[in-house]
Amino acid sequence: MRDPIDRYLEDVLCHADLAAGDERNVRAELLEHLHELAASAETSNPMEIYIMLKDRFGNPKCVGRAIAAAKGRMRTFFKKAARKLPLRVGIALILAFAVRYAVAEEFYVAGNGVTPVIPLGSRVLVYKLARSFNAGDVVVYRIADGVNRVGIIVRQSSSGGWLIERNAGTAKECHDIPREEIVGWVFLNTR
Amino acid sequence: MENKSQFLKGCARTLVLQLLADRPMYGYELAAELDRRSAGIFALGQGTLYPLLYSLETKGQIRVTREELSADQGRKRRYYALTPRGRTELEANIGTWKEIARGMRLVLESAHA
Repeated sequence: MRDPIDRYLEDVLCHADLAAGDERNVRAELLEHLHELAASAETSNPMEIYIMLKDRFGNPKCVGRAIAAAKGRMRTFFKKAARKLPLRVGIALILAFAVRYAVAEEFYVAGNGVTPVIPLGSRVLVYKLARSFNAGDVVVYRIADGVNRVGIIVRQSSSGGWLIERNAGTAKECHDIPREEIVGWVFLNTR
Repeated sequence: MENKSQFLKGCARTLVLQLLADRPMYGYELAAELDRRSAGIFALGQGTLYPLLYSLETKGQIRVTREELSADQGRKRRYYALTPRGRTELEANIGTWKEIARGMRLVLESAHA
């Protein structure tokens, strides 16, 4: 049989289910007490020591639960939650970047390319997974690394890309843009 | 007797405060002292002492003043001492106890007289 003191203490702590810091303190404190108590026993038989601890110290389940109640179950809950917080924030950030990279990204419209549909100074949210577009859809497309423009879909071109129309001064211009250069479809804007 | 253990638990709170009013003590010492000074009547499950200590600590009536590491790894003596708030609580409890004891004695003695 395992060391009766360890076994008894594990029983108590399992029922107490404390936050890590509290558990460390309680464990050290109870361990001291149980060792002193066991030292006063007249036997060295592990089973008899276990029974003696149960008899003198109390039912491990009752003791554990009473300790949990005394430490405050709500407080324990929040302490445990606070410990997990950094991990959760990390996961949230990773998810946020993953979504931004693959699903939806926000852009600031710094020109009059699609005025008046979306005026200068708007913010737009772009859905990147769109497979096909309809005439009149507002899209964001790349013209160079890090340089994007907004335009309105006219129709699919014969090359498989999309004809996109935008304002150029007072006139309109039309470009044939391949799908891989189209960032996505604007589904939300602050207009 | 379920009744008795509940009753003792209520009293133990005041007794723990009283013992700690003399000097700071750690758990086992407190349990042994309680047992000795009450002629064994308060030799209640020693484990119940800790929930009591932790709740008194949460209420600010006692606090840990000293921690002593044992030679053996992972064991620690935590000495608890009374705070001013604990002292006020103790005095209030003693007042209540005296009143109850007087009332009990008056009624019981007249019934058995």
